[in-house]
Amino acid sequence: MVEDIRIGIFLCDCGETISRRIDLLRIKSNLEKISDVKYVELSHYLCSQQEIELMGSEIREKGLNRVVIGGCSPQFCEAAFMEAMEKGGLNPYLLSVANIRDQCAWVHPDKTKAFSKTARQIKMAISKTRLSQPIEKEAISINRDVLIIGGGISGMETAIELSNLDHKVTLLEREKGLGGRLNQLHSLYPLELTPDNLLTEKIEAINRRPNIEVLTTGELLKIEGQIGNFVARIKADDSLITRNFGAIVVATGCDTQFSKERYGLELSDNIITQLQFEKMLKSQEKWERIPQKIGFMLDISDEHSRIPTISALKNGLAARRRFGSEVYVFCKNLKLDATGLEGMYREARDKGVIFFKSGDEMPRISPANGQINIQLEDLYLAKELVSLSCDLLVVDEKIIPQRDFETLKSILNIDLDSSNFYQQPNVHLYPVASNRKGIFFSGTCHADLDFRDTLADGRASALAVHQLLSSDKVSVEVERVVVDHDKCVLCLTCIRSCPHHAIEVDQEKQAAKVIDLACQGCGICAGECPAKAIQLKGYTDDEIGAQLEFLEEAM
Amino acid sequence: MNKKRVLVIGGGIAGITSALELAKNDQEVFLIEKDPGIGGHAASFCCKATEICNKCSVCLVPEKMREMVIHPQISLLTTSEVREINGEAGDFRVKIVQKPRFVDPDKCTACGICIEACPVEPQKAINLAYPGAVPPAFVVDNDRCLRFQGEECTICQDKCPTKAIDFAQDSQEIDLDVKAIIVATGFDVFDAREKALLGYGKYPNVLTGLDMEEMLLKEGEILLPSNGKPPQEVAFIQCVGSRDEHIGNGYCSKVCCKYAMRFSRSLQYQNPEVKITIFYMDLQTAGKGFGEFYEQCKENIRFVKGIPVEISQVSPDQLGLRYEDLSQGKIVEESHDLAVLSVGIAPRKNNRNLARILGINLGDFGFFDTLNQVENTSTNIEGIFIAGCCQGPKDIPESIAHSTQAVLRVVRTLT
Repeated sequence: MVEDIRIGIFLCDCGETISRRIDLLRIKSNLEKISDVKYVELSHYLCSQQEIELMGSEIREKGLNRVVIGGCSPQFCEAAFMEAMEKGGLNPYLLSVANIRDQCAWVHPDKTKAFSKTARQIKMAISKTRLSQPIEKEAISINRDVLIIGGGISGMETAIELSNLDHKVTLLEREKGLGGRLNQLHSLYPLELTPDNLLTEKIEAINRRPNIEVLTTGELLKIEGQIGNFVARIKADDSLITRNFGAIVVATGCDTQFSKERYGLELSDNIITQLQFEKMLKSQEKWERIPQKIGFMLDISDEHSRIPTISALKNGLAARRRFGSEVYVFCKNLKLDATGLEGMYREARDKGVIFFKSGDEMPRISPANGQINIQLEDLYLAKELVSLSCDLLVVDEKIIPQRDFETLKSILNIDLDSSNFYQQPNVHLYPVASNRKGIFFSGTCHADLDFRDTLADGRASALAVHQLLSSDKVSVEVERVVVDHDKCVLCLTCIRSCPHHAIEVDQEKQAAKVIDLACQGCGICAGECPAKAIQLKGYTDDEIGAQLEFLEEAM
Repeated sequence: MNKKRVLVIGGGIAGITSALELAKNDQEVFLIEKDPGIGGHAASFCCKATEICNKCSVCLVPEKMREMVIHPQISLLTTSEVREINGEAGDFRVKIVQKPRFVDPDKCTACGICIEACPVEPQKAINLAYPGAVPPAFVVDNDRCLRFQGEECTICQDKCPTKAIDFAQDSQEIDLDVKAIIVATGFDVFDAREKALLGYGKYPNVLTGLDMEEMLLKEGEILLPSNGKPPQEVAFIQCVGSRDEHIGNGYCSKVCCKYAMRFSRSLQYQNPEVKITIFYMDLQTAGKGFGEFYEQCKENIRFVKGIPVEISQVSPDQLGLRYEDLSQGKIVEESHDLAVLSVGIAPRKNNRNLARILGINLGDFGFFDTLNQVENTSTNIEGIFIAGCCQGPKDIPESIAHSTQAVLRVVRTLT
């Protein structure tokens, strides 16, 4: 049966900002002449609560089955209009929005041209909406259990918080014990808490909770499935396990690397990395020789991380306190944009730590006779050449992704940023989301975070997971993307181009199949498919073609 | 389940995120905002994209504002402040005072008839709180309205077709029973007049970062206030009101290096010929992807270590900046046509008062204090949490993450 199209058009003036340029009354009377347009209304603020209510009742009363909005960007109010349509008993996807505010009224000074563009845009929306198809929603059952990869502080924090929210958690750690980098640190100054105390507290919390399972000496081998139902193959303590999870949190942390190339020298007994120095401070063994003069070199291996600055301030102060050594810090820019760091910098200066700031010129470092001579042009002393010798030089390290980041990237199909950390640099994913629904990040595996921010990130990640898996059913748009089985030749282009890993092969039908739960409706598959076998509802070839027809026509 | 609500104080990005996340976790929320519209500082910020997105995150704000306002589980009270609080976690009784806005936001359709009718010229006494205000309802400007100058004008009230205007409205006291409270009152932008030698408010071509945001948002481009022409030589002066022990602000505001560099790119996108200098103490280039952005900036922005001490007007369109050239150890003066003071994040002046009402502690520098060093959303009062810049400087994504954390704590205490 051919559907009888009854279009309702709602024009918004956005507080008179549109009618200043465009004669909306004339637009309205022109639109009323179109045969299948059954209703045209002009409103000052269509998005106000009353107007939304009114729209719902107009849809019902006039028996409208398509809606066109002429107003602001769909980014702002589309959701409200969709709600109105639902109230009016109409599928909310039978909507088309013409952005006549941002694209016509606000940008075109010429009233005649603005008018004709507005008319064309609304006509395009009308021709599109005639072809719109409804999209239904369905509740799909999901698993509420969570896999956390990495048992460092961020992974542990996420695990504890998720367990509090009544999720069953599997915490997978590749080493023999939990704690990660925290095991190597001697203090968390200015926090009074020591790393050991914190670690004991967290491990006890984990052990107390029956809904957290810890797998050590573990490794993720394979992941299949999608959000709500991931199937994980895990190797732990030499046994193979298969488990189902609703979501995955990646909390694999970071590594550090001394840059031999940038320093132009090798590590030795008295040229050591920040992490080595940290370990020496942590060990209870007596120092063979107490260093009298310690230099901290910054901004050579890594110029853009806070961690080396934090480490130099913390350990410089510790050396002053514990040994009374002379402490010098050589840097370009101290990174102080985290809580409490400016205070620590002040304290370090008050306690006698001396800071030298140089420009782009690299300091000259020359080891000789058990001493290390450092020469640099100090910016604050009018570039005067400063020459100093230390008996211990602590060099900075670059913060790099953990060593097997690529393995996990390909197992999980998650994106990296340009420095190979997880999570592409997209503000809409921040703070913790990934390119795949149901996979999240926690801690330093995706961002440069100090200790407190790492805990915060772990908590943010827990809440994000909980929101997704708060009940055992989730509402999903069904068949938003439709694959024509007859046209699909299984070339796999769509599977390769889908950034969300939402397409698989339907063996039975021998065609590509879109997983509704994982699909984010981006339409890349529809654009890429060489056989034109894939259509994204709302952006089908027919809908786009119908709009193009009116592109040039004047009303 | 206890259907008592959660109260969120403050309608900036932190408050909006808190309310939304609470609602998504099945909580009923009251959000109160002291101004007539929500959005806070972030609503006056502008996208700083060039040919690519520069990750300023400002676009997240209107999205969330819109989402929040239509959420059925969130009730919004504008022009409201907390007067008094009693009770304890799970059972707080809060007294709110709502100042009259004389326009009922539920009835007002922002049709504009009242604006036409208003006899006050040239700027009318009734209008939106700011362009594109959320909620989209008018507010009476008490400083302009004739009724507040002793006259008996009711023209707008008589003309309003939805009877939304009511001058009989008075301050109302509203009592709310809530089970938990999130304080998200944000920050004050540092008042650049405190650094008198930099000439803000005295010379037209000295602007603050916030002025730049507003100009770019409203006008779409940056033009010199003195002559309306595009600037040719722009200086950004970092750490105005931050990292400054003389004025008691011994902390880094975290956002200024980043916004200065993003503005610089934005200005160069507008006019590739513009010369830009950034005067700084220590550049804060940490943060996801920011190091790379800085390396690109270095190619055509001049970075100078050292902060100018004084700005003077050398001609109607030119400013003189006096600073110490560290490489020569000399005081030099150079001229620019626009100086942008990268003002930082300061605690709200009202924090002391609110801390007293709520019984929560103030910490360093006048931001709200946290329970301990690792629980940075909990306060000394059980059931009262803090989110966003009222705890200390944060950028937009950090404020969002911090609010999420506060919500997690609320949800956990309640279940």
